[in-house]
Amino acid sequence: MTARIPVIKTPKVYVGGAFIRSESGRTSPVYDSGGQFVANVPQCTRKDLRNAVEAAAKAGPGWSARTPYNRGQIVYRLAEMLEARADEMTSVLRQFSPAWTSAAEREVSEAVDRLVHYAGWADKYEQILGSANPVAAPFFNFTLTEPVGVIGIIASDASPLLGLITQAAAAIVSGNTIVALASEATPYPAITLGEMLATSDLPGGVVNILTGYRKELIPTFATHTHIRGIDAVATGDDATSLRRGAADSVKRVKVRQPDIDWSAESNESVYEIRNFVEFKTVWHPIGA
Amino acid sequence: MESGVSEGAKLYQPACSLPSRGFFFRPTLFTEVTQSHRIAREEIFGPVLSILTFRTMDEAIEKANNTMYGLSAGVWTDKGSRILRMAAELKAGVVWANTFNKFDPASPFGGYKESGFGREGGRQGLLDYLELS
Repeated sequence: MTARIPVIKTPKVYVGGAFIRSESGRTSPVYDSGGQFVANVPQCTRKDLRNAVEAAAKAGPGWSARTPYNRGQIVYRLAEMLEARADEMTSVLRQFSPAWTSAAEREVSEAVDRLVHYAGWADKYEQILGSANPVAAPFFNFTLTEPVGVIGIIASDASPLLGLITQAAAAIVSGNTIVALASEATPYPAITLGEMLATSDLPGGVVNILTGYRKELIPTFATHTHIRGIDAVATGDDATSLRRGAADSVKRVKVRQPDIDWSAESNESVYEIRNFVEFKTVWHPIGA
Repeated sequence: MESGVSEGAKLYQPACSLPSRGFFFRPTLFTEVTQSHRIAREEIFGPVLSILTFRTMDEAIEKANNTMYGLSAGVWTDKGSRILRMAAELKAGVVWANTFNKFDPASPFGGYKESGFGREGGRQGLLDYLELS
């Protein structure tokens, strides 16, 4: 019997429901925690980012028009997909960091639980965040929430799965669509997550995941006018660049510290959903 | 004003006398305005109204949302279901239906898109001052 030729996977990024390489053809190598070469991951460019924003913008109206109950079902289905492939995700996490040996299983199960948590909010957050307002005149006055639009996410290096899932779930459950930049240090779990999303019921373009260099892409995340909000794990120059770039197009910026404890209960909150909703208030006269 | 005329909109100003001292401007209407006109997408901070026409609700919604701003919108109709659909689809922080320019401390006020952050007034306005988890 002849020896088999090894079949090595070419990791690709998940954009608009499809798996693509960077338009530039650039890649960068990733190594496992023992220093062994694993694969070349796409090194996405600003053009890739703009294409992903376009895919996210295109998916937005359909996603936000679904009933909240349906969005909840779909996010719950993501949890099912991740649970079913928990072993695969656990071994991916273990492969890339010795620190993950004992924590990988917990990171994955907490990511599943987080998806379940936000799936549950889908048809409930409106009742917490919206209101009927007691104005001092004969008007019916009420406030509803709506998604902001396309949200840019800069993921955590310390928690390349649970962090990303938390940011993503809280943003999409209200009808936003996202473009996420995976952890630069450990991009592989996000690539594996993309493969799992593709087998879920999530419409293509709702979640788009890029891999690449933060320094290269953060300025475009900040200044792209079709990105309406940013949820970033960032400090120093990166955080400044995001805030400054975002000011011009008046986009919301949520900056999180790298040492955030993603396991903490505070990550499961309706106020995380509130970060990326708009409030719309409607007035109508009461009377004849 | 000049861009409105040069881009092809039709200007109407009534004959009226203005005080000779101070900064006054005649009430001004622009008709035959199209979406590509600058006066359709940007607000002139003065007594100037740009009028665009529409035949269907879809057309009205598309034209109204064709701007980077979204502070307020107004809709007039005697059909309840139309009010609710327009209110749902207009991208503005406040929608005045069969009324206009109403404000109340108990009612959140603030804009979508490039018309600002957060809300003032109401529970949503208070929430911006709190850190809840």
